[in-house]
Amino acid sequence: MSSSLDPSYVTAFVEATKKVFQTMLGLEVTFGDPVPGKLPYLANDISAIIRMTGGVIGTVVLSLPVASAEKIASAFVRSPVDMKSDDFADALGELVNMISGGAKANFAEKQVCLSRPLVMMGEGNALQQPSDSVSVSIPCRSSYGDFAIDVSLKKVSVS
Amino acid sequence: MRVIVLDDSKTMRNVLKSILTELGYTEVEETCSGPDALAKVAAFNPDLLLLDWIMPKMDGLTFVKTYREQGNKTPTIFVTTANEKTRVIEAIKAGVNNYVVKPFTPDSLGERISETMAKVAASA
Repeated sequence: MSSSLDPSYVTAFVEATKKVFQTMLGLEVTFGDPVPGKLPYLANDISAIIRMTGGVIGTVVLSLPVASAEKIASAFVRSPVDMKSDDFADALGELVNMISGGAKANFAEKQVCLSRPLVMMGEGNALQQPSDSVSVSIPCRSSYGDFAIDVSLKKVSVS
Repeated sequence: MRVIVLDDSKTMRNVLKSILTELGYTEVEETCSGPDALAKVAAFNPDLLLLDWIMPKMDGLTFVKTYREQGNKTPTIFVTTANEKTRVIEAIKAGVNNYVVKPFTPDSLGERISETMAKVAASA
């Protein structure tokens, strides 16, 4: 894989993110120019993480400040939730799962598996990816606040 | 209309219940596993089941096969992600009547339910 992420992957994540937020939350999201990632990078306070394995190996992170995360989780579950609620992590996990699944459906590589999502909470977390991965951060803007989709991928050959 | 929501995620059960209530389906029972759902159907006598695919203890495919083997004809809708969409044919063969892909709007879920119930009524 080259030192920059294939634009088709970025497009797949942008389209999937737009659709997930529009349909499940009725929330319009706009996107800034993707920023090539520097490793390790400082994540937002909340990171909903999913791993991809198979034809594409890597990590997808829905990275949000607490205020945005609480608004988004509340809109998803259709009732107010804060970060102490069980629904908070589950909602963000579901969202990153839907985004990753939707993006994956548009990959050229069809043999890609997704892990169960996990959600990391806390200030000042730095995420490190393997050095042979290529990372990009996709800035997302919405009326619930800004957030990002951070993607780090390594393409592999599957026989 | 009585609906059972079968999903191992409490959050997704809550989301689906909320959407179903918004759509006017107020008799909604939830369950977190296939074995629990099999135990509940006799008492609740649902008109429709919405079911998740990947669950511990018993996955959605095994649940549907077991449910149909027991002679149950209640319509079932498979709630899936684009990631699992390739398994839809397998699900239909196992006895699922229809499917809806997450993410979905309340309206699209409502349309899928109406479509399913109409098809089942027409074939009865």
